[in-house]
Formats: sequence, structure tokens, C-alpha cells
Amino acid sequence: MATITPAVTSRATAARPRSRAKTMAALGRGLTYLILTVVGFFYMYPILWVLGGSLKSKGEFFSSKLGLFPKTPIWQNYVDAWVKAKFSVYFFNSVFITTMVVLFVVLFTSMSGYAMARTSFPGKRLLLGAILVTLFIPGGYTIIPVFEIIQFLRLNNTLWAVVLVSVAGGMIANTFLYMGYFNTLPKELEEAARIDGASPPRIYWSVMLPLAGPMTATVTLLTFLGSWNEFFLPLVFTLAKPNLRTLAIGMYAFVGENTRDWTAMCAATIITILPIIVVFLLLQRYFIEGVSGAVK
Amino acid sequence: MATLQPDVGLRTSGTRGPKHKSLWQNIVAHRWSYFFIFPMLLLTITFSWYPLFASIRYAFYNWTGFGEPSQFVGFRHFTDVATDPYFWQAFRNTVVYTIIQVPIQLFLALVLALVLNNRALRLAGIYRAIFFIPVVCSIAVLAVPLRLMFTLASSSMPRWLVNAGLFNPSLGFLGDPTWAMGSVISVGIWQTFGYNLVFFLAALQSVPQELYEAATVDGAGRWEKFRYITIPLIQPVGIIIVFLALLGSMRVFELVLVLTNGGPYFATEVVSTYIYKFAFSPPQTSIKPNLGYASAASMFMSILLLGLTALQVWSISKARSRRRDLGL
Repeated sequence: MATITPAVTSRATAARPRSRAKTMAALGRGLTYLILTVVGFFYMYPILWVLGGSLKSKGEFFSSKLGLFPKTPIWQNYVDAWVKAKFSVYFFNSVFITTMVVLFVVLFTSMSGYAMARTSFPGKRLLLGAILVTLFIPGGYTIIPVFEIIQFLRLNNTLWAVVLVSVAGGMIANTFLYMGYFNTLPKELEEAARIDGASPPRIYWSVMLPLAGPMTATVTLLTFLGSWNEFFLPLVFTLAKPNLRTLAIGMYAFVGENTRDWTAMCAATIITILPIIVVFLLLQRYFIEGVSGAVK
Repeated sequence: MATLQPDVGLRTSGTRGPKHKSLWQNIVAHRWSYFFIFPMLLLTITFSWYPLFASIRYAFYNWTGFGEPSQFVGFRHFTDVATDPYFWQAFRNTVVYTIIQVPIQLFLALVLALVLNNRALRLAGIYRAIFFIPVVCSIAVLAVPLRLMFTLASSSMPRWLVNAGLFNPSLGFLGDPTWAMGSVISVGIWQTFGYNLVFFLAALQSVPQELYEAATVDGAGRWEKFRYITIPLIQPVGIIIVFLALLGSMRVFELVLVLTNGGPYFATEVVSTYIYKFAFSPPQTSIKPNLGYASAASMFMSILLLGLTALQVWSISKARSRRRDLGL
């Protein structure tokens, strides 16, 4: 719209229609804000309802039905979810898995992305072709042989099963991302380090990886998001072992075990989604840039 | 592309070797490259490439998941899948879910993106964040309280709907075959809407502002600008958005598993939950686990999705070449 430019007009004749147009635009903007706020409120309603429910007493929860605000907020539900429903255990399982997955994905894919971008070793074209083909193959339906490999490695009923399969699942796409990023970096620093006698691992670790900071941020965020929310892998590998469950599987167990403690379930939901919402709100720009990279 | 670059190598010596090196010398010279790609390659071979081929083999065996698959059944699983009415019901449900969810969601996302793309709207970032929050939360987690919310909403439905026989409060939204799929679709639209909003916003922001300014000078109205500038310029990205949405919807799994578990009476059973039940069904259910059968059904779906992906690649390259022809 044209109205963002300040209406600085010297001629009195032009000033009047201009200012009316300005008022109309401001009104339109106000109306847009109003509609957006109402729609946004209803959009967030389910999550706000869960938040309200986590602070209600059990009696109030059922009498207020879809009502939002608790009369007097109580924290007991969080204690119940954290201690009785074992969400403390699930929380640390999720933190462990996510941390390990992010670390290994960043390390392995930055290494391979670097080698793929900056050297032409024999077999590179073949590998690149295989990576491109794999990028386009729909995954997710190969869990059965994966399950078998995990059994073969005697890793079933450990958290490492989830870590290993998640890390493997992040290899192709993130190698591709790092490769693209390293390709855009200038060669001079690398050459200078080589002339100074730095070994390839040293060049990678002290020169190239620090230079790839922005890509590391993107890969870290996307991997963190995917790993924290991962459902299928921990479902297959940890559902039967309550001590190994992640937060998402702990939530799913509420469905299977026919829990009647719905207010604790609401508290557990907030425990599960709050960390990722906080991280998202703090690093919003990077999240959205990383996600919209998928269509660019 | 990387392959067009001259070889700078990771050789420890700074000098270039003789021009005609043997393959082995070349490999040794690049030993650090192999070290760098090794973890990635090992994991990809073990957990991506091998399982792809292994699941093809399993599809020809009867196998409950214990020991080596030994009972070879040939193509019987494939014919069984192709003639199983429950499979086709699940397939039909997947298609219904996709063709209702995707157009509604993309239309709404495009409309909101056009509203939020307005530069005069200073608080656009806050609204974008609000609509993106359900995306960063796991749907498998959100679906648990949502189940309860549907139950509570069922008991608060207006009397006239119940009296007209349109709604049965004792079954509720998720227990009534006529309402269950609609409920699942509405949650699906709600949760992944933010993705498409962000995608469309990225597409809209890539349109050069000068084009709109030039069009304004030429006296073009809002609709003309949308029709002749916005649509053609966001079309290539738009194709990717459409296919990502289609592929995502065809693979819907967690949402259905947690919200309805495919019920009532298979009304919301989709292909992913169908396969999951054959591969990992708990002992108390009536379905006997048969990983061979599940593999055959998986392969059917994979081939279908691969076809969809091939169509995507084809239409993107077609759109790109058309843009090139237009000199854009």
C-alpha cells in the first residue's frame, strides 16, 4: 500500500483527499488487526485450554468443560505429572536423545558436507548421485529391517537405538545442506591454513566448521525440532519399556493405559510442549528461515 | 555444483602430484575425504539403503518378526494386499483425507500469507508466530488432549443438531463414523497450517517490490497485480508447496493413530496405520503380526509416493523451463 510514505504535500488541494485515504487505510489496518486477533485467539484456543486445564482442580476441570480460566490456579497437577506419571524420567530421556542426535548429526554431516563440497575424491560423483536419489525416495516404510538391525546390534530396549536410527535418518538431507553451504564459502582461508601446514582435520575443525556457523544453527534447530517431536522411532523402540519412554511416548501411554487423571495429562502436555515453544519464540527468525529453506 | 570445481584435494603435501596418477594413488591422496564421509556413509548404508532392499525381500516371505524369514510365499502378499477390502478402505480414506485437507489448508494459508505480507502491518511477525506454534509442537502430543476436548465438545453441542439426528452425543465426534474423518481433517489442517503459511510468505517476499510499483504506475488494480504478477512469480515455489502438502498428507500417521486409532469401524483408517497394525500390532488385537505382509503393503505405498515425487520433479522442471522461456 502507498500509505506507508509520509504524506508531505505542500499543496493544500492535495492534502485533503490524501489524509482521507490515510484514515481509511488506518481503519482497514485496525480491522485487519481485530480479525487477526480474533482468529489467532481461536487458533490458539486448544493450547490455551490445555494450559488452563493444567491449573484446574479435577472437579472444576469437568464442570467448566471448554472454559479457559481456572478459578484458583493450582500446581498440584504438575507435581502429579512430574512425579507420579514419571514425566521427570521421560523428560530426561527426551533431553538425552535430542542432545545426542543434534551433536552427532551436526558433527557427521558437517564432516561429510565439507568433504563433498571441497574435494573430488574417486567415487564422489557416484555418492552424490546416490544421495540425490535417496533424497527423493519416500522414507518411513523401511522400519522393519531397521528394527532387525537394532536387534542384531543388541541395542533394542536402549535409548541408543532411537539415537542411532534418528542420527542415520538425518544424514542425507543435512549433508546436502552443509555441502551447499561449504560450496559458497571462499577458498582463501582454507588455502592459507594449508600453507601454514594445518592438517585436513585441523582445517575442518578450526577453520571450516566455525565458518559454517549459520548452517550449523539451521541444522541444529531443525534436528532439535525433529528429534524432540519424534514419535514413530521411540514408539517402536521404547513403548514397552516405561523407563525408556520419551515425552511424546509418555503422552501416548495416556491413551493406551486409560488414565483418568486428565488434569495431570494437561500438565504433562505443557511440560512436553513448553520447551520447544520457548526455544521457538526465542529463535523464531532462524526457525522460520530454516523451514522455508525447504521450498527454496 | 561441486563437481565442476577443480580438485583442490585434502592432500597433506602442498604440491600437486604428477598429472597421471593411478586410481590407488588418487584414493590415498584423498584418504582424509574418506575419513570425513565415513560415518555418514556407514549410517546411510546401514539404516537407509540396506533396509530399502531388505524390505523388498521380506515382502516375499511369511514372517512374524522372530528368527529368519523362511516361508517363501512369492507374490501372495501382493495379491492379498490388492484384494483386501480393508486395505482399499484405508487407501480411500488416505485419498479423502488428502484431497479435502490439502486444498482447504493451502487456500487458507495463501489468503493469510497475502494479508500478513502487507508491509504496513507492523505486528505481522506476532501473528506468524501464533500460527506457527502448533507446527513446532508434536501432533502426537497435542492429539491426546484434543481427544478429550472433542469428547467435552460433544456434550456441549446444541440440542437442535441432536434432535435433527445429525449428531449423536453418546458417540461424540471421534466415535461417530460420519463425523470422525471430518474431525481428523480439521485437526490436520490446524496443526500443519503454519508450515504452508511460512512457505507462502517466503514465496511472496521473493517477488520484487518494483514490479508492483511499476504495475501501480500503469494503473493496475489489486486483482490485476495478484493475477498477473503474484501468481506467475510464486508459481514455481507454489508447485513445491502443493507437492510437499500432498506427500505429507498421504503419509498421515501419528495424528490418526493417537486421535482415533483408525476407528470407528475403520472410518479413519489410513494406509500408514494399516501397515503399522500389521507390523507392530499388540498381542491383544485380532490382527496377527506379519512383517512380510506389512512390507508388501509398504512397497505399494512407496511406489505410489515415488510416482507422486517423480511428478513433482517433472512439473518443477517444466515450470522452470517455462520461466526461462519467458526470460525471467
